[in-house]
Amino acid sequence: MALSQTRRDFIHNLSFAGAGMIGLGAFLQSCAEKKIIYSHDLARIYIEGLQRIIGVIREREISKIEQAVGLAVQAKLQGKKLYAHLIGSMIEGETSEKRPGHPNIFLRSYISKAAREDFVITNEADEARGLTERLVRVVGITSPSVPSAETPPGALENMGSYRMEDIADIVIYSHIPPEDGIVPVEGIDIPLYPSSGIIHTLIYYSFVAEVMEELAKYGVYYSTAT
Amino acid sequence: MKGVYMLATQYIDTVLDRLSNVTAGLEPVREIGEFIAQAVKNGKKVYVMDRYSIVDAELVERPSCLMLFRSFKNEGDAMTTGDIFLLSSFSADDESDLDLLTQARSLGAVVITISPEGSLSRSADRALTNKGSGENSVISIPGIETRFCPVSGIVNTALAWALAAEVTESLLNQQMIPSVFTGEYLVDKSGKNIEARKKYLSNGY
Repeated sequence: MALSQTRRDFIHNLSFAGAGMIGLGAFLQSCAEKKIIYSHDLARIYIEGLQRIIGVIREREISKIEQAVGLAVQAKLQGKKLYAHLIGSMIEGETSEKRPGHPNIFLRSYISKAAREDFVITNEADEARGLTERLVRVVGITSPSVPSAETPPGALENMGSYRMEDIADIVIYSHIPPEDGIVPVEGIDIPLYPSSGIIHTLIYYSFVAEVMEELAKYGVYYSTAT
Repeated sequence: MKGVYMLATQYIDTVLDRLSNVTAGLEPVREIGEFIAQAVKNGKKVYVMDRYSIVDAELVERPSCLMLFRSFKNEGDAMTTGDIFLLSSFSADDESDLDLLTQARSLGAVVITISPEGSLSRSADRALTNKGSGENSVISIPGIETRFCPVSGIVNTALAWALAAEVTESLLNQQMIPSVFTGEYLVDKSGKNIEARKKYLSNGY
């Protein structure tokens, strides 16, 4: 076996030799002995994975984003309040009122204060429970809870009591896997490098761009943090 | 309504374009990933900082992420000579970022930045530049002077995850399997983080 081969070649050859499953420790030791360089190009796989998810959102979710924009604009023009409750990782910093480039459209206080015909956008279903019963307009960002290729049965077993589909008027799907990570790495039992922070931020700003433009047509302008 | 959701798709297309720039420039990411892995192998710690809590909120204590990334805000007091200070900013030359860099260097840290090209990247020991994202916000409409809807946070975060991927690969090449955070909500994964944490504390990665 050539010493300069890649790890992928090594796995390929092993499978032909009928070696089957081997432990990662032994495998890495074997790689070291044979001077095989681990070269799965994980960084590229991650970025391309993100691009693939974003492509799906562009293809399937734009019409729902536009419906959400319609609800938000309607609420604003009726003098109602607009709320955003977006939690987890980078999106909290991205939607901070001090974040340069972030238009300060939404109230960041507790969405439980939202009243009839106010508007709420959120990625936390439990926090938004009961709002639609009070005729608050609710838009949710989440992974599908219905079992599918994207959400295998049981994947969301421990993900809280409420499903976005049950508590929101419009659900914008993020198309991220339940594990959040999108790069499988041998020897590690979950996919690595999460996608939800980036994807939720992308959906939020796509929505904000449209809200800003629609409201400007009615003479409603918001300041942007600088 | 107007000509079919132009701004939403414009924003998405801009992000896709900037991510393509990241893919086209992965070589420095690889080099810095190897550098960080070597430092970790030598027992050094990696601290992450972002004044707007974007990249550090992603990399630190997040399911599907390596345990070796620590928060500078919470644990920076423990920084010692030779540790890594990973500073992310969407500004090329903000005084507050430059002060942070000076502060970390005075503690003996090696400074790595993720930012647009400018004073900050030039002052760093090693730098990843988010080419094409220096403009920060990318949407403009008549009647509003300021551009809005930033892409810099997304690009910096993508670069940071690409860097984490390269660190992982480099560690695996040295037969070091990094500890990772697991989402406790995942089926059959409860308690995994306790085991992983023990391993991280004992071997540093």
